[in-house]
Amino acid sequence: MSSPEEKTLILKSSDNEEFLVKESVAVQCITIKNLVEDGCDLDAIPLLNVDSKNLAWIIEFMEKYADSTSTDAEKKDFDTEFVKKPFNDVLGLILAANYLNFPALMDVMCDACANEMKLWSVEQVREKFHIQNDYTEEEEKAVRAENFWAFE
Amino acid sequence: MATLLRKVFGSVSHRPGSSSRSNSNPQIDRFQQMMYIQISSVGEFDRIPIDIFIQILKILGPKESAKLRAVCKSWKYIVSDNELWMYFLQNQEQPGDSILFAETHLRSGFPLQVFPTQAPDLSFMHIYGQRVQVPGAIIIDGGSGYCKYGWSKYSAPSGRSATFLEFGNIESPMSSRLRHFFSIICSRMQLKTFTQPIIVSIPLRHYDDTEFAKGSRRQLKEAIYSALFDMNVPAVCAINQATLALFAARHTSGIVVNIGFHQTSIVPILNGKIMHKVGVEAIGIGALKLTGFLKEQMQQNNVNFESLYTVRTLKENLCYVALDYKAELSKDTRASFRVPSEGWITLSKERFQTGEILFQPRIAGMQAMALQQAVALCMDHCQDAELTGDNNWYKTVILAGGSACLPGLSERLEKELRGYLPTSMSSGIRVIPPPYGVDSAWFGAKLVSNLSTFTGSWCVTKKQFRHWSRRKQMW
Repeated sequence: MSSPEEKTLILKSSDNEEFLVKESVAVQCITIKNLVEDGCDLDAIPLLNVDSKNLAWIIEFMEKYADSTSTDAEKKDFDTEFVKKPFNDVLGLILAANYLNFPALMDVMCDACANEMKLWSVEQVREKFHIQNDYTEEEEKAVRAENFWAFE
Repeated sequence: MATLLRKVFGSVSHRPGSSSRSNSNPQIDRFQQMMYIQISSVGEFDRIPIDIFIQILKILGPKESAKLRAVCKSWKYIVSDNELWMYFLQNQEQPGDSILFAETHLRSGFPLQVFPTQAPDLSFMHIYGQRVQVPGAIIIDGGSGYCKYGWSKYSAPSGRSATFLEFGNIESPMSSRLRHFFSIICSRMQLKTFTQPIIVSIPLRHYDDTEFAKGSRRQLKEAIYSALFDMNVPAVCAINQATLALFAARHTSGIVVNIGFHQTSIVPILNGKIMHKVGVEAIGIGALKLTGFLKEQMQQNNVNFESLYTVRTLKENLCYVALDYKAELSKDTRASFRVPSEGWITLSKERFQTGEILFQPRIAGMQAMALQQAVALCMDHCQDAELTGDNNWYKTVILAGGSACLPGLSERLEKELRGYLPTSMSSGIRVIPPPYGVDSAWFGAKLVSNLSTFTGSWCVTKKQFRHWSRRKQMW
């Protein structure tokens, strides 16, 4: 009989790919932890809102963070490399981390998102998020004037 | 799109009903906003729930968040969220509830608004923006004992001076003496001149309701303005010390018990105004008497010490007020403290006998009124005066002053008051220990000087003062 710490779970992505992950690692995602505690882990655990691309990354992240031998400095270096992804993928990971309820990943990805957004002008934000500007010229001027202290 | 709508609707539904008062009110009609979100295409952020968007905004910070309002109309609405801006306001060095108290109760300046503005009617985003523009001010809180000075944007006073040693009695309204005092503070703060607005605490003096006392109070205030404007200060705000301590405790009404250097004042304040008509009581026991009494006790009990400074240090570190004096006498209350340059000194009964003289002045051979009697008398007068329909405004007692920080003082005073007053009066009495310890008035001043409306509603400019003095001289 294998002890609980060594138990391996099968996580199934939305596109039906299966991943093997140690239970002790996977329970960093509170959603998975709850499913295990409720006894839903006998077969593969279906993660309907996470595709294989994101799931692979998430597992990579989980394994790094579950590793007790990695120092804080190493984790920071890992994070720096990990977030170097196209912006859409950063957003995708945020949504996945939210769905899986994985606070550590959420924090890292939200930080990364904010750090990118800081560098953009209002026009660039619209571009990156594919947002239609629904202000008239006067309306936009008015909003900018309202918060002039932020644009200084 | 569906997620966004659901989330926006969800987060909007637990906000209080919209009040479409003026078009500067950001809580625009809920359904109008729904329409904007429906017809505009929000792109990627479609899929991201609002609470995550807000999480990212919090990381971005206030300036970057405010900029994003220019992106599109639905972002403008989302970024205006009051909870978000309360979060940003809270991350400054003043606690969030002090900022909330100040902005809802003190916006108008004197006279204070009787009913506080309700939080949902305020845009915290606009308040944040206004507060960011308020220039830093210099805070000078000087009494007859100690003077604390510093900057409104810093978290604590940057310096203290012993006023009594250096300046004699700064409360005598001689402009020149005050000017001397202020210029010394200026140089202590390493400034050539004062270029910022100054907020000054007016010490408690001349309590009576007589014409003479009123005149003296006015003279003191004028002398303060005059001295500072002569030094070319751009704007001055002068507020009574007791009122500032009250604000620091986040109240606009109550009885302030200020244990000062020479005496203790019991000051009833209603809506920020000192009720001289009701009567300000004064007891001739203050920090000086307390230290003096401790010194005598130490001498009587053969405890060796070299200086009065030692006695003061021991008072501040070992003394406390017993809840039950008699019972305390039979306990072992020895404790020691290491006084710099004198070493370890042990006290026992002296520790709680010192503070006891406030409650039993005869222990020190004094005829003065006991603290609980004076406060009870004040409450009695407040009740008789029937100034408002609400008979609870005087039941909150706020302690202020360095000596009021004696551990156990507030509990003991509350106990004594409950014992002394009839139950009809004593129900609802609360005694609050000094907010922010020894620097209550200073922190009250900090609260006011960081208000979004500080320069407009609280300060007097040189021009205004000169104009007003000239008009007065014409009579």
